[in-house]
Amino acid sequence: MRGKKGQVTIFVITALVIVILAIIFYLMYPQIKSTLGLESKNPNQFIQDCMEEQIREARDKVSAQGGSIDPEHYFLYKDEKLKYLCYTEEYYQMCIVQEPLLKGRIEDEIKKEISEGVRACFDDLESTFKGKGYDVNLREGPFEVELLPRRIVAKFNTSLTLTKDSSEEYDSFSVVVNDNLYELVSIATSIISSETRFGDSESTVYMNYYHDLKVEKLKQSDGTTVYILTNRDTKNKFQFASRSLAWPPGFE
Amino acid sequence: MYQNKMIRQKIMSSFEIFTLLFSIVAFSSLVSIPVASAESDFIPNPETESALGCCYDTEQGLCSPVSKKGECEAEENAEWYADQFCNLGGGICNNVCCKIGANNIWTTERACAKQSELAGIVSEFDAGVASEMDCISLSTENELGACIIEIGYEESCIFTSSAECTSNGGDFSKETLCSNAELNTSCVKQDHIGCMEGRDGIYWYDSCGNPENIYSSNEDTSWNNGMVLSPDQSCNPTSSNSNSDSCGNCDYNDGSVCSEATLSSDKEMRAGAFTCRDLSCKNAPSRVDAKGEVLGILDRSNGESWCVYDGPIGGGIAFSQDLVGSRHYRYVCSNGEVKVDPCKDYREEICVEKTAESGDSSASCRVNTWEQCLSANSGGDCDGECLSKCNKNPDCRIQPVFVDSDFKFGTCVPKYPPGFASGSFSSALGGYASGASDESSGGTASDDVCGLATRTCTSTWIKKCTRGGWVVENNDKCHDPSFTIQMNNLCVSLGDCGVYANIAGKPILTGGRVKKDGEHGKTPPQPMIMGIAYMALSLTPATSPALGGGFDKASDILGLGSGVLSGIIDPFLGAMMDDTGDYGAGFEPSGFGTTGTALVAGGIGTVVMTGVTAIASSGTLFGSAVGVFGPFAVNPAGLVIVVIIVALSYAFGCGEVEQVEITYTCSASGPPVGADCEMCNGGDLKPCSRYKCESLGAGCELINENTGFDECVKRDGIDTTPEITPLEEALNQTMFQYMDESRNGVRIRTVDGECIQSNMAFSFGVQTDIPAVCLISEEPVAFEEMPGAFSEGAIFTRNHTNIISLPNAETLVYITLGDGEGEDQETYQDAYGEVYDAAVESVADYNLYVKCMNPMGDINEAEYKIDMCVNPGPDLMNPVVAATSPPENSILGFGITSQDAIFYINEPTQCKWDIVNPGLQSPLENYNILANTMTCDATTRDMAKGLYPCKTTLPITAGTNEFYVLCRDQPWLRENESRNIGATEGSFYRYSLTTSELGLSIDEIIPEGKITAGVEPITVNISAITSGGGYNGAATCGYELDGQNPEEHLYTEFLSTEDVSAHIQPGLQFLSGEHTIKVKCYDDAGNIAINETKVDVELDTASPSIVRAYRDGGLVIVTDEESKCFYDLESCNFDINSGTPITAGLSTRHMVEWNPSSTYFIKCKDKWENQASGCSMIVRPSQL
Repeated sequence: MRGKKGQVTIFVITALVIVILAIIFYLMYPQIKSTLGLESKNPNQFIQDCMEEQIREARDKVSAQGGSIDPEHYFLYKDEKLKYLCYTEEYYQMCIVQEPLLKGRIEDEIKKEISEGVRACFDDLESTFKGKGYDVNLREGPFEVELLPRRIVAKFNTSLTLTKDSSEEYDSFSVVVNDNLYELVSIATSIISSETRFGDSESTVYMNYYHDLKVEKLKQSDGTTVYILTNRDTKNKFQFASRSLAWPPGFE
Repeated sequence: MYQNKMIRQKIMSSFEIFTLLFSIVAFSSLVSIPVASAESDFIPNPETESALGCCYDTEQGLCSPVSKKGECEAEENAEWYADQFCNLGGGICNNVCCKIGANNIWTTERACAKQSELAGIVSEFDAGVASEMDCISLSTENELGACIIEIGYEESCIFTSSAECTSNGGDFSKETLCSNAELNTSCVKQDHIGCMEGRDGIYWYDSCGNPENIYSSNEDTSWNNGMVLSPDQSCNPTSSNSNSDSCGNCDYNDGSVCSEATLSSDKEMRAGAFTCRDLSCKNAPSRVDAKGEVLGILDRSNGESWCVYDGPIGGGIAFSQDLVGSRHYRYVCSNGEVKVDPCKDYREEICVEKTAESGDSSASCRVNTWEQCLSANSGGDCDGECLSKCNKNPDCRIQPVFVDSDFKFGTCVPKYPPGFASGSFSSALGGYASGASDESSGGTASDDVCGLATRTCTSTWIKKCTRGGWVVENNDKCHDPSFTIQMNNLCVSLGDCGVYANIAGKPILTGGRVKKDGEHGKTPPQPMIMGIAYMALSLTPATSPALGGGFDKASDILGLGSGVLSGIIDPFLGAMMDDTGDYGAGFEPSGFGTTGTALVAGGIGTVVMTGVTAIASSGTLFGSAVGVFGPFAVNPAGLVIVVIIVALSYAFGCGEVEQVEITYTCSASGPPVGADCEMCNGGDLKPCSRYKCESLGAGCELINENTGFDECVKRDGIDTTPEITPLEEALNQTMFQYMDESRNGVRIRTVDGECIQSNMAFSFGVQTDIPAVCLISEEPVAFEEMPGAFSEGAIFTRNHTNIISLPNAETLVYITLGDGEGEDQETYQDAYGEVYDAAVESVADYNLYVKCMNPMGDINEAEYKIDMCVNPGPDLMNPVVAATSPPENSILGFGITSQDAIFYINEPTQCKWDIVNPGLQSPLENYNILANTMTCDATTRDMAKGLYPCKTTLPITAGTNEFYVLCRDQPWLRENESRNIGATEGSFYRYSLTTSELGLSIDEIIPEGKITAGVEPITVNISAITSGGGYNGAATCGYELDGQNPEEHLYTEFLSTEDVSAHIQPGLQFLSGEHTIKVKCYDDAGNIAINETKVDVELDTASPSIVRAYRDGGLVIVTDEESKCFYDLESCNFDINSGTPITAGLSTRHMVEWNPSSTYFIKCKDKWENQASGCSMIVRPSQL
């Protein structure tokens, strides 16, 4: 008799647990679905996931080399090619800006670097949704990369129509990558401006303004100054070289 | 409270900016701009592709200064303006505080709008915010709140700004947290803590990931019923909270900021592993030795900066103390880390520091104005004006030398003596070196700097028969140790010169030496005795930082002479020094482009007159510093005989006078031998550099320089003893040859195998299989005792060259005694007997002995012998003028009437000159008829060049002045007609000097008069045009603005000025108002001109007005100034640039189609982009 009561109790408890789990599953379904990957990604998310890492990689590559994927005029520092953003080969003279529209140039470089990946991502998108039984109509268009405060945005003027039971249309796609490159480039621009005017810059001032910024200024004996700008929180870097108001190495 | 913090930050930033600006201004004031032609790339024609100006990105609204026109215009959406620093009309390049959502950015108005457009958020900009710092600080005051956004069928809450919320179509609740119960979101309050971008504090985050209020362990207070709580209202607002585990109200201005708690010193918050990271630098290094070991610590505030040195600095009690290889460093406490900011190496910059009332210090690296100190001495000893200049410059000090009443002087020396680059070191054997690394100069600049302390004290001795011997009349203290000590102190104070110590505390014993020429009195001790004292001093720390964040009144740069280093780096500076060592004659000899220092064997005088001294001092380390052999070779037995003869000759010469010269020779210190290189690689606190590395030992070299992997290492292959062989390329093999070469030596003979003609200069050399320093001696003595150096000096190199001119026996006797008797060998033999025999013997078999030392200090034991001999035949060579000062065909200043001149002859001669060529047939007749006799002194031949100077003063008239010079050799032959006469190729030396036809004048200074601009400051390029003078206006010019320094007249050199007549200085920034531009120029002939102009900068900030509108074939409007006008048909609320243009260019008359049914809303702007805030006029044609 006591055994049966115990059995019932167990059944009741089990039932309650199942009910509670069911309720939790119901309440948390979207998150669980997402977590388990049960949800089929929407095209925007697909492109975001596909492109985000590529943009980050391109950004890292560009940032490590003064804003250029393949710099021509650079200072080799710790095996990295740091592009001269401001340069004069003469002694006692202020430098000349080498990349007047730096922000735009960096956007172009990132764009160039990810362009192959963009095509691959949209091809993947197309095949993925075709595999799910969709009728896919993809019309690829141009895309732009913009540096914005605290983020990098890639906008793809590619339209997509997915048809299965119903039809879904997407006029364009955009990928947002949280990143401080805009801020770092702005500071680099300000440093370059100071280099053109004074032949030097006061790096601690920038750190007083921007509390999450670290500016390393490494003077080389040939008159080159290596700048490494780092966001202390994200550890993102932007590094470049400048040669301004150089002096001959010592009095001979 | 907040304001106070801000002010503190501002002051700190301002000081840093000031010091930066100051150092630049000081620099530009002080450096001598190198030769820059009018075609310099930096001053391009505005029409060319390389013209520099402002590149404006019309799409992004960003401005890039100092950009090339061609590169800018090649870009899409870019416009180029001629103003280098982007002072563009309408202030389009001026930054404003741009507020986009929750963020503030400091950018242009146009860029603000663009970012706003891209972000899809309405932006605001606040033109009233004056600085970037204020703008960024104001970010924290942006209103934030909960934004409820519907995404799909779900509502989400984002904590953001009103503008961002609105742009996303959300519902904004001001100053409300997403976890506020009234919003009924799923976000649960205070889920975790973390840092928030752009904020200092530690914040609570809700379960949706939205930031809430600053963390406090009092959760209810922190949550504030779901409403925003500002930092000032949060826990402990007046503290940095760096030691708190309950309050996350970190504040950057109080010295803390949110960070993950990763350090042992971090105090973790109770709610998570975050901390208010203390940004101060605890136990920051305040004293660090050259190896990078911390010797002293001090707590520093965030942002504080201070100076760190390698040892003692500045002017001590007795001399300027900066050590060889030392550097100044600026350390900064930045966000809890100590950053090391080395000042320019070679002490081109010094670190200066000041302490604020708060106790915090601020430091900066600024230009070391050491060159001014040396230049101030240009009149000789430092007195009068020099004293004044020296005392006013905080980088200079007076170094007194007071040895005796007739040997006392002051010298303006650097307080922080400069270091010298490698190649200029006289190295481990500095005292021997006179050699040059520069083939054209015959000496390094550092030798010239150090050479300023090469001085001779002459004591006078008289033989008093009544008092039993020789008695000193004056300067007897020059024979005492105080002479050595005071002169070495002067030497050390000039730069890396003299006997001193390096940063490792290793004494450098060879940068100075003392020599006595004369029989009487003691030889003062050699300066190496002071090595131990200097070594001890090197271990003492700097007691106080360098002075002068700026200096009040700098000296007149242009007034100091031709460029900052004028007269200092003159390779012939030594030649300009008179007998007392004074310098600054201001001209240089010409035509002496030899390879290094000449070596003239000679000086039997030291055998005859100072033979005793030669023996007594044979144990000393030092010999001639100028590659000139003192004692001409004789064997010891011969010497004794000579001494006896000399003694007998003068034993009874009562009343006889002897001048005894005690010379201190100062040369560059250089590194010690050895390879203690490792201490250079001490780490980040004292980074290594080429100068530091090479100063540690002659065997050290810096590898991987400027790669980030720099390392000071011992050189490879320097441990073996140098092997010596003859250097073929050094010898003129059409005339000479090396013979009988062996491991032990070589002979030099003519190509016919004969001895060498006397008084003929020729070069020779040896090479070593590894880098080495080689010395020469006329006797086989120990390396340390060898007196002569090769031309390369004490640089470790493989090739060692020299030039020698061998005298004959008669010359030897004459230059030693200053006189001689005897018309031929026979009479000489009679007059001088054994002395003459000794001289003949010497020249018949003249040997040089070479020893070399590797960088580790290892020396070849067996000397290498170079065997030479002088052709015993009569001297048949005519004398030759080898160089002159001023150089031949020099242009002199306008209006001068006389000129001192020196003629350098290759052998002892007597010279005469006249202004006409007598044109007689016989050289002797010509010589005899010349009216003017020069002062020639064979015993004081020019030490640097091994030549014999003859001096005179020439009368100068306007125009070209020609002088005819003849010299007659072998003066000891009296009137013997066998004496050779000539000055060039056996004939007259024609010497020409021309005066400037006109004085130098500054014809024009541009700009002048009124300049109108729409914005201030305006960027102005100033230029000056010079004419006349000695070189058709070619001159060097400096400018002074607004009488910045009326007493001292500090002129800054134009950027493009040297030896041109158009002098250009781009990029000066003028505010509105009247300005005076004063210009001073000088040319190489010594002409000086001064002129000035006034510029009135007027600011046009008024917008153009429409003064009339009427119908005349259309609607005509007239403006009161040249303008561009635009219209809109809807309202005045339009952007002028997007309006319909009425006129294509700037004009006062503008016409548009007459349409009675339209209303024209018209806006006009002038060329400075000035425009009215609303419409300039609203025109309804129907009403006209």
